[in-house]
Amino acid sequence: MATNISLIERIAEALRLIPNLHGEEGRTLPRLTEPGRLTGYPPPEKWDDWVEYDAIRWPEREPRHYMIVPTNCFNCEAGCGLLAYVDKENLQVRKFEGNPYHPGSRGRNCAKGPATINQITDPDRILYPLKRKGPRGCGEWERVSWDEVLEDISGRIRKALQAGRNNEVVYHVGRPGHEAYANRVLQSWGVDGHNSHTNICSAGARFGYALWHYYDRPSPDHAHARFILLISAHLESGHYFNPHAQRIIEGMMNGAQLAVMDPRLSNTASMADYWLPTYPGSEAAVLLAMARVILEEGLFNASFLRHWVNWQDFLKADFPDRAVTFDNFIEALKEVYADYTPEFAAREARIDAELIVAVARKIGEAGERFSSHNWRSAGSGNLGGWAVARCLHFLNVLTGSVGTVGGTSPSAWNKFKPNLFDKPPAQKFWNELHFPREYPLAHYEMSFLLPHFLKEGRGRLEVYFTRVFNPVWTYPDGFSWMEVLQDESKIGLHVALTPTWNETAYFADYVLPMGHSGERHDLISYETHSGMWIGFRQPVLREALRRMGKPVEYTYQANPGEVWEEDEFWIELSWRIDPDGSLGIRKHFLSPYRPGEKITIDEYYKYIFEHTPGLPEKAAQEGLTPLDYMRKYGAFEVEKSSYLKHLKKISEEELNGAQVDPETGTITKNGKAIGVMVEGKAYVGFPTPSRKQEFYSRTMVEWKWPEYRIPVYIKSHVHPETMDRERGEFPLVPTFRLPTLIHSRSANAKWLTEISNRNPVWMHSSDAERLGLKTGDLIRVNTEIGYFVARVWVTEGMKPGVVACSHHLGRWRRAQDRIGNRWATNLVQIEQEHPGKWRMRVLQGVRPFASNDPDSRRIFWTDGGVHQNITFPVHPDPVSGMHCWHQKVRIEKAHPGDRYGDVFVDTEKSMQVYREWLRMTRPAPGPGGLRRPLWMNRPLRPAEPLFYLSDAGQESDRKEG
Amino acid sequence: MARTLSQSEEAALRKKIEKAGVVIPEVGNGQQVGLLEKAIQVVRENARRVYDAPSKGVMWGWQVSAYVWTKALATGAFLIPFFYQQFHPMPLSQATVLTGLLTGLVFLAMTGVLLIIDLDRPARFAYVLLRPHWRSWLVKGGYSITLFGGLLTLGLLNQLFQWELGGFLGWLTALLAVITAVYTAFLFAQARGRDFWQSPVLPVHMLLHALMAGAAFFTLMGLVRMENAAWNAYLRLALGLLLVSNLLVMAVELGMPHATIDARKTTKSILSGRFAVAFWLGSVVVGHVVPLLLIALGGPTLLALAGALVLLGIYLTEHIWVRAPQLIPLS
Repeated sequence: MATNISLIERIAEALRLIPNLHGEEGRTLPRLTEPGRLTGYPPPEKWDDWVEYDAIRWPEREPRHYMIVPTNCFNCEAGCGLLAYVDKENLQVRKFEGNPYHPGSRGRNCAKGPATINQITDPDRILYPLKRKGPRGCGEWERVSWDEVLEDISGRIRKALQAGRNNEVVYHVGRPGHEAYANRVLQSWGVDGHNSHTNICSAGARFGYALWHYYDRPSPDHAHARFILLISAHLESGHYFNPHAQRIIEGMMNGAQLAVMDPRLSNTASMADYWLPTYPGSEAAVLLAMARVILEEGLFNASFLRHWVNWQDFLKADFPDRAVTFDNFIEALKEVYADYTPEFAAREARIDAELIVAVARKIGEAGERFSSHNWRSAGSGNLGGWAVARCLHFLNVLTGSVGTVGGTSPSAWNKFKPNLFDKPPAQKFWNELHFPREYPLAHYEMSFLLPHFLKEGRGRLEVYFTRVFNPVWTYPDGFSWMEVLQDESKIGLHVALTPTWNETAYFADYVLPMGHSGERHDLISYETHSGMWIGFRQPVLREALRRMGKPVEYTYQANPGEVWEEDEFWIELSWRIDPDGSLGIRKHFLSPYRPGEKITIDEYYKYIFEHTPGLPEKAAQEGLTPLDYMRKYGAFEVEKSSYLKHLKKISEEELNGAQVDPETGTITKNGKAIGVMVEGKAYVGFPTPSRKQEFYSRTMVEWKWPEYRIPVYIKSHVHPETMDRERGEFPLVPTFRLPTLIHSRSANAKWLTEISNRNPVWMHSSDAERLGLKTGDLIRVNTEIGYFVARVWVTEGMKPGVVACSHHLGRWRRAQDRIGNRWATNLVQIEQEHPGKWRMRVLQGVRPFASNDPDSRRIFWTDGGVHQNITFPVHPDPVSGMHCWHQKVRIEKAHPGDRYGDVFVDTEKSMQVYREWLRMTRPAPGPGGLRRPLWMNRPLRPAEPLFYLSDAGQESDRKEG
Repeated sequence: MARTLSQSEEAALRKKIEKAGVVIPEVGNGQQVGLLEKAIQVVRENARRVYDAPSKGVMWGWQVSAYVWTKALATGAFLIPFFYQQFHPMPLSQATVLTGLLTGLVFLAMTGVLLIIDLDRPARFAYVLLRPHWRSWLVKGGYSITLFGGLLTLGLLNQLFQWELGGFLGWLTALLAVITAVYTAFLFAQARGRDFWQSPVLPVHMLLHALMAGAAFFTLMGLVRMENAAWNAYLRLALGLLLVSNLLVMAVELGMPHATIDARKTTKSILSGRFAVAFWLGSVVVGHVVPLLLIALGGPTLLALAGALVLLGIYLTEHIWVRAPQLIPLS
């Protein structure tokens, strides 16, 4: 220690002129770790009493005693492992660090994980349940007790259920946590009441994948790949930022090459070997050109194609005069895709044809070790964006890299499904506000059309829960949401379950504070890599108290203020909806361990963990119960790796009475396909009608979209043909995410806001020169329904002819609203000039403020950004139901009187745009009077009779006008 | 994408880029069209690479320009009579010598106070001295100030008590005075991101300012108490020569071709940007041209007026030299 110290310093220390940092005093203090070695993480045997010096007290060495309690991050979907350091003296969480025992994140985190501590200590956070006073949205609130809240809400739900108005009870989730839990609750109530954010997020990609093999998400094995292709904004937009980033790096360290398709030079693109700045919407054309190269140059995997693709169906349907042979299939493929030359794709994408060929060859050479990923990005931006994922997966199919080591698996192979103690029956209702007949193939609920449906009088809501969900701000057409949320005839009661203030909660009747990651229970599992894991999110203070022998009954008793969690809230609410058991709800909330008594949250998880394969054995090795094991480590690896699950054999017993199609090998039993025969062996295959990868989709033919029966390129609504450059028209890419922010939940995290606090419009230098703009100039960005005023950022990291603006920023509060999220919110004035004509103006940006956190006085940024999403109309894709985010905008210099952050919107125009897009649909019924194909996934699946329009018995088929 | 450039077009582009000091990397097949175009855009600064780097404004404020000014006066007040004594036969009165030493001490103390204010916390100044990090010019400067102050005190005692410590003490003090006067130039140069401060003439600039301040101070003293004629002639000549030299040094600093965009931007902000009025009117006209005219016109009162204007000019110049480079965004 005492090396390289000058004589002067030694003397000064000896004379006590300055504190002695090197003297004997220091050496006698106990060391926390062995000298000379970095200790990565505290060893678990010391987690109950871990000693660290208080960093702020340095140079005094004041030991602090911590209890380390694991939990799982809640700040994006990845659910990385966190360790909470609970100070044993004052029972406050001191910090969050990575959990090395989490198989997904392996001890590492992105900036958002440790920033959880900011959210917990945010001086503006909501600590108690609030009920509105005065009209909805007026900003007046009063504190109420949880008891009052439960009584009021349960009473309303009970009434609705008794009257058969089950479709009026809806739970709308923004950030999902534990969907199995929520779905079980909804089905126990008998409501078709699950609504989600999926159709502004991933429905496009999901539908593209689902057409191939039912599974609707990719699970790439980046770590073992030879070539990686991402259709991506920053990795963050692909959901599993931290788990993916570390595995992509691992793969690249082992020699893999990375290609990124994105009109913007994202962080990921800047690290790639190949950056393909494709024009928005052209991605599918590029992918098909790559497929053509792979076909023409013989780089495909013939064995996989022969056995695992439904090519026979394709030949029979499209080439009835040809013999059904594999060679004929390959020839037909070459013919079908002959027009997708690299030159054609290069023209559409405005990139070099040679680049397309080079990447295609790399993919072909990588063969089974080709991993790929698409989640949002192009898939969520364009009309027909679902074709991007479909064409991307086509490359995996051609190379045979489906489910292989270093390839791309279906999501469900790597995601754990818990065994629950009780499974209520499927609901006997079909909520047309979520699954309207215009969108029979919609891959999840048409959630962003809810205001438009309500305005059209398609229904009403009696009790509407929004859970960590902020459509007024995050969704397109936020003013229409505001209009509907304020209309009490359309929404009887709006309950906002949220850890922090948001623009939607301003229009709630109850704002109920729900905990952050270290303040709640959830079970999570995601397809972050080729293994399978579960993570246990737990309220860390409650767990610390339990370990100290001071258990509490409810989580809000341990959390700050009365911050609660949904899990316990639902149990208590359900119990009260059905006080005497007559509604048949109560029986689904009885303890599996104590007959006749209400289940506790511990029992709920105890049951799951006791029925998780391998967990009881693993726990027993440490002398722990499964629940205690999860409380201690926070995560468990169910499978180390999972590949080729379609090759699971079907037993002789199951094969009894089954038929095998001699031509396709498909095995059917009782009229249902159960597997496929390959070279004399029976495998389960994929859960599609053919049990194979469906290159040819009979479903698309049957549901009136024959032009899309095989993977094709669909021209986007922002195709260059629709743009007039001379008028200043551009496609706006509004979807890219910043790796350090959360959609609308980071405004309460000071560290994150300090890093990113502006969202200028990215524009290439050549475009800026053409329009006479320079960095910092104010521009008016005109959308179909209004405009926003932003600043331009001139950069070469943007494709010429395309502009982009990041999501996340432009958060606001009105003067009458409760003070909240002051690290990031602009104070705004919102006026409705005429019915439907809304104007928002920023009165004040972000300012330093006084609080118990000294950092709030040190805010140096002044800019809260611009709210762009609210100026977008809805663009429901007629097939997938995805909101197509990209906007055709006209950019001009700001008008005199325009101010930074100004927003104007006409909601009547937004209704018009909605109707235009609605006209593109081809509504149900499909074959046999179906509302939607039976074989496809449907969240919160109702009883099968409900799938038939004619047999549903609820309502007669509507005449189409 | 990659269109072919004609030879003349390419030559013109290359010339433009090379003139801007940008090196174009060689890539395969001599295909540099895209790179050339990119390099042009970078050179023209059409593109910025970061948009949310926080601008925290000027971190070194008036305290720094003021401390450079007081330091110049403290060192100049010693050096001007010291050099006179080395080269002129006519002895100086003890009063003038004492005035030089005392003024040096007083302004050095003010320098110390300003330094502490600038460091925000007194403990930091103690740490500079007591936990020294010898590569830092802040530490070297801190020690030179301390030693210079000690030597001035010793010189003062030597004068009062007639200890006859003589020539060695004088030369040692002069050496420390020069180091104290110029070290800030090296300190500024340690701020690697500030290209304008990397100039090799910055130490000369600082030394000249110190001597100018010293000479100017004694012209003002001339109003209070008359010294011998040789001293007056010395001051007049010294101030005149120093002003002319300083104009030349500034011309070099601002006129030499700067290799980097940041340095060019700084120069531009001084010559024709936000500091143009302060520079041309304040620094050049009030600080140099008018004093030179007044010196040429003669007379102790006019000379003293010239001195006052020179002191004002030095402050304005330092104010510009400290602030202007800090206002260039680092990214």
